[in-house]
Amino acid sequence: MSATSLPEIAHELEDKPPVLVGRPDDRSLDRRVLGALWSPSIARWWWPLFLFSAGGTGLLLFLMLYTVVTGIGVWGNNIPVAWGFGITDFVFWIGIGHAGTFISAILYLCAQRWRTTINRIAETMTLFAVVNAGIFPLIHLGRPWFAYWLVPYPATTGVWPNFRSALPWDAAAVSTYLTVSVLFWYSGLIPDLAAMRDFQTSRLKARIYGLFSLGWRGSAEQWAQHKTVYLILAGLATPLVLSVHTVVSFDFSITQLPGWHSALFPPYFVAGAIYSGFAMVIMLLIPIRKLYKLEDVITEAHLEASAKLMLATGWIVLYAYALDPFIAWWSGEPTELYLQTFARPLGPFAVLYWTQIFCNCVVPQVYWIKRARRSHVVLFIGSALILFGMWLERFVLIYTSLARDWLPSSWHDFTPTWVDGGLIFGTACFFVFNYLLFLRFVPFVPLSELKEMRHELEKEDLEKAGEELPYEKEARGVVPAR
Amino acid sequence: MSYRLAEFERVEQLVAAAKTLRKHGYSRFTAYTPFAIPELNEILAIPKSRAPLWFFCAGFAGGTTAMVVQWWCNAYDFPLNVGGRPLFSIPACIPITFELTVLFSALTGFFYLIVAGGMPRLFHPIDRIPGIERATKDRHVLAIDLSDPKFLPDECAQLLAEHQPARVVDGEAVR
Repeated sequence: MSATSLPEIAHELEDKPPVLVGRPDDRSLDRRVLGALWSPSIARWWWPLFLFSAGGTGLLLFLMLYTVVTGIGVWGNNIPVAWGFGITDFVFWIGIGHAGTFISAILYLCAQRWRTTINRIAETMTLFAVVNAGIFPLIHLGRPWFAYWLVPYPATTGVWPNFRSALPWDAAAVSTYLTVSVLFWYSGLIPDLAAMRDFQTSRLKARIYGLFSLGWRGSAEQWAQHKTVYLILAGLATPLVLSVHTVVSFDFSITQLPGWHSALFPPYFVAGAIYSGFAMVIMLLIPIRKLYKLEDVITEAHLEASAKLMLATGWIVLYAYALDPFIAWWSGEPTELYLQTFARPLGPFAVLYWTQIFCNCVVPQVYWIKRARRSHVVLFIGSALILFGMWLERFVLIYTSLARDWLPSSWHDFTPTWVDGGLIFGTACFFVFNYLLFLRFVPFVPLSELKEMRHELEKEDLEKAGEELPYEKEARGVVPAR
Repeated sequence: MSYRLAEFERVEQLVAAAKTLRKHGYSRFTAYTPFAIPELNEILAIPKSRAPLWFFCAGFAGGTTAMVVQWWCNAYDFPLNVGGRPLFSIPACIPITFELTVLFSALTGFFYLIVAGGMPRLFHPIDRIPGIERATKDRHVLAIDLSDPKFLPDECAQLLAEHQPARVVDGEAVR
């Protein structure tokens, strides 16, 4: 269609990729999205990846056991660097989760259409990332079987947890985040599980999906309740996701270590979390749309929007990095000033620091260029670098502050052990392992929401063309307006 | 109970057919659709969801519980003196209070959805009528209760035919 009116010309000039290529009907969407799950053609890549990630998961379980049985000394941690890789990995994984909730809840409230197709892919990423994150605080306790001490239960000693400490805050924030994410994810999934039930030809599969769909039938009454509850859950998840990384940042900012004691931390952590999460979303979307041949459903629009958000949050992170030395100077505190203006950029941690700056501040600038946003190779490599850079950011933050505190006589460096490395590798494999199982058994594109969006798009298409729906034309006159 | 199912290809057909039935005084009918159709709420006179009230009350209970527990544990039952800081101060209690507000609220809201939606359910009588299984996939189905006082088989068939249903079938929904 050639542009004739001003808004149309403007639209064409913007050169925006569509959120859905073509207008596939319900049946073809069912076949493509639901049929993909049990399709034999995916076995070729699914099994090798699955076996590899299962091996890595085995390694993770072994290393957890080894750590618990032998003691925390198998890690490179020491005093003063008591947090090392463990808490770095915790902050890294929980941060990844934030983009999932950002897409599924915040963009839902903002009525952003492009979130529809990818919200489940992103939200599932949240669930598995939070599960991974939960592992580290638990095993870094050293005696994980006492983790229940964080819960106020009537102990014979009569002592209660100290609720003014960041540890119970963390426990409350992370467990709430996981629970609410599961509820939100599952309530969105129920109608699609019902579709999956009715799509099956095998009786056994139909029964299993039927069980998980809780008997959803899709009546107008059910939909009315569903819409309301889903909207409110999104409204609850929105402040929740902001609170989680805020509480995580309190682990650092309520202490008095140089480089940690900063009021900037909550927004800086939240932005960094969404930033790294979008890098992960892109790294998931590119292979999924390719392997499942869903390029017309998960379109360039989704990748481009994710890249733009990565650029935006990348700038917030850059701003926080720039503010760090300024606040150190403003505080007039010599140790703070030494850490922020010498030790990190010029001293013993310079290599780590500048790698972090390169990955997190320089790399995303390439996404100012449209061609870079649309090149899958550039998107994928850039996202991988950003993900690595964000892990490094947490490591630099945790390690350098602990290693260079107020008392030079207590300064000490940190060397990770193979167990430290194995644990982060193991959690990455565990993430892939879980994700592959999800792709195999659960409708990963929210089908009912996609159909609803398609219906809205069709209506808009016709409105734009100034036409009526084919059916309405025929029915006019036969059905007088109410 | 017996139903007449009318399957439609398009949302607009279903909505128009529902309007027609409503205009002719039908009251016992509902729609089964693959995705939410907000227009139906008014036509089918579906009462407003009570979910917001449940969310709010549960959230309030969660927040109150958290505040009380923190005060009772650290300031009343076993006063915990940590470096001379106040035994109970609201700012330090905010993180857990907020989290518990959200947790209670979300859990209650979710279970409200399950119960209010008539779930969990292993089997629904209407599942007996062939064709209903397409309502979660690619058909918009209108289910008219044959015990509706206004129901007359021929008139109803005529009213539905105006909207070109893909298929109309009568069936008995039995356990």
